[in-house]
Amino acid sequence: MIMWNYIARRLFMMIPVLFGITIITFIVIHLAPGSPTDIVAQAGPKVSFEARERLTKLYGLDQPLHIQYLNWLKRFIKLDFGSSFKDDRPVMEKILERLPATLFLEGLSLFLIFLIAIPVGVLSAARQYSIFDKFTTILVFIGVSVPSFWLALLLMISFGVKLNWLPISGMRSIGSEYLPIWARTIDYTKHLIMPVFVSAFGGIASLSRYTRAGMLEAIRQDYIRTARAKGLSENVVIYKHALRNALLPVITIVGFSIPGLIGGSFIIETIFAWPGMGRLGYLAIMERDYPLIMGVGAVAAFLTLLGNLVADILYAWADPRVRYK
Amino acid sequence: MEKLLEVKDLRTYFYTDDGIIKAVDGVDFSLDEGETLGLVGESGCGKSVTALSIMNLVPSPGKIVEGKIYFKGRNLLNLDEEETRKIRGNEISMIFQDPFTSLNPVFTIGEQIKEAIEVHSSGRACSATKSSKLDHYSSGPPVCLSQTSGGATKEQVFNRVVELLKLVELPFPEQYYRYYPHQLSGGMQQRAMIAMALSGNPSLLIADEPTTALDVTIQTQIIKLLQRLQARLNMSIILVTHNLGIVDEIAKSVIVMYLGRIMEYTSTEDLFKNPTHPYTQGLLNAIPGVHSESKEVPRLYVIPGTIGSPLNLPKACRFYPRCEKRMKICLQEEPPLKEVATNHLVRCWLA
Ligand SMILES: Nc1ncnc2c1ncn2[C@@H]1O[C@H](COP(=O)(O)OP(=O)(O)OP(=O)(O)O)[C@@H](O)[C@H]1O
Ligand SMILES: [Mg+2]
Repeated sequence: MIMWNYIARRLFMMIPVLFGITIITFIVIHLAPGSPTDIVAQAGPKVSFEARERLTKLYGLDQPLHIQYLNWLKRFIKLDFGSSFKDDRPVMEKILERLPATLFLEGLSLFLIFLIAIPVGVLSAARQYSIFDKFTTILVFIGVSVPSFWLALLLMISFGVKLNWLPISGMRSIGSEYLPIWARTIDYTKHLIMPVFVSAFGGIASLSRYTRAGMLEAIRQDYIRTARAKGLSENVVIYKHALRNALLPVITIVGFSIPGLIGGSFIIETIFAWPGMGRLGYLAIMERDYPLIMGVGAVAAFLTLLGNLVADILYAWADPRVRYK
Repeated sequence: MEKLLEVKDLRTYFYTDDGIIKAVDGVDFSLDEGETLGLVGESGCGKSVTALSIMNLVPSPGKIVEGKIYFKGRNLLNLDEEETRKIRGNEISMIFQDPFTSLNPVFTIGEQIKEAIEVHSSGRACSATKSSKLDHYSSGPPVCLSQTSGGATKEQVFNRVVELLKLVELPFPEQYYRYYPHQLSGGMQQRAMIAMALSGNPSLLIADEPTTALDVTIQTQIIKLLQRLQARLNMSIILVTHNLGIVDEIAKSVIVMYLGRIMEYTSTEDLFKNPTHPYTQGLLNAIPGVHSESKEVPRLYVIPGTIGSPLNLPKACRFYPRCEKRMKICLQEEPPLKEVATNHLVRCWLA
């Protein structure tokens, strides 16, 4: 019961944060140079002036900024995100059709990050200064230093263009829907490999470091000495007593890593032409499609806050000191 | 009678980047069955390291470089990892200074005690003498856990945990089973630690400053509890402490340590009646209210200086830099541990 109260309170507290994020997004996009009417202007100086005027009126861009924001907010509260400037389709619809691709890509990345980083971190802590530890230290160093867009391009050139092993863009090949199921699965998987790898790479590197540090910290604690003094085997001491404690802070990292993943999705989806929300947002920014930018921003912010909430709940569930407060 | 524990020329050094720390440097002592030995001395003199050496739990970069630790006739330092683990937490147990950090925060008290029982229960011989110690006083079922071939049943273990919690006088043991360490007060945490330590009916309990982290009233309770338990279970105790009052209360003999060396080793009675080493005298003078004859001295005595760096040990007597009775010879040669009276050993040229 206490837990439900807590969750309700946290959800309620998300409202002002979300509100703040939308204000900042709104200000930033209007401060940025360029305007949604620029594209029309390219048609020619003469046509453009009138067309520009007309569009400015139509989009309501002639009104003062705060009025524009309030108008947006009024609709947003009713969960109406407005329509895209570009094709006049509802923003909500455009986002919803792209969201699953993003959630799938990021969810898979997150899963891989945990699947790989935790064992790697634990092992390198359990065997501190071993060859394995030194080797992963170097990999981690590379992992956190290499920019993901560069890695993406490098992989595309080598595995996509040179070796021609993997497709360099999209989610599936043209005509793949006519293939038998197993061939389709292989086709999807091939498309997934590079985007997932690139978006998980940095996360694996940093999370394995966090895990290693958490393990080393836990191993130094008094209760580890107690566990040894009980006569427990070294495996039980490390993989039960130390690991349980070392994993607690790791849970919080999930929360922290979600904004990074969502931010990264703008770049990775654009590079790999992945039909997700990140690419949608990127294009919206390029075209100054204000309602779509606001919509993507609000959804991304909501997902981030939700991720943090889930992390906190998991933490409270896993740590008895928080659970029984 | 054979000694329960005999430590011979124990040397435990830490190989740090700054040099070798001789934390324990040639320590000899022994312990009878059921005896309580006090181990006192200032911070950093090697008490904990001595205790951990007996458990063979010296943390790196520490190493036992020399010595023999005979326990029931076997040299513990010759045992392999497996054999050592069979003794740890079973025949020799240890409790620590800070019960809160010594208990794992994410497991319940019950789980942690249960684990200690289970790790030693499978394949343990059902020795009548061992279990009878406890059964005599407790109403519970026999403590012998290896009647079933694969160790003890769940119920047996649970009952045993409850029995142990009762033994350390925790109220509502069934309830405490499910508590997490942070839900208990310091005194109760230490009781839980003691329960865990007693799970194997140890012949020797090493208590490293078991009351230092607790407030005074609780300290007394825990010491009294240890006393009662010792009488009941006939176990030996090595009690590491700063508190000579506690030593006076429960220890039969005392070791006074200084920078890895034994300075004085005698019976408690003797130590208080006839302290011989200047360091021991200093420690006794530093206790409030002990030297009441000198009423005109309002301030507490303080041994001058601080314990030196264990890295730069003086060539001579280790207490030389702080000794108020130092002589020329003390700088030239370290005094041997001399028997000044029966069972009264002192490392001082004056003795
Ligand atoms: N892990 C370690 N690494 C390096 N040196 C250590 C380590 N543990 C202990 N020592 C050194 O060994 C010496 C003895 O330490 P020990 O913990 O036995 O002192 P103590 O008598 O128990 O003191 P206290 O009363 O503070 O508990 C100290 O000089 C300390 O610096
Ligand atoms: Mg100590």
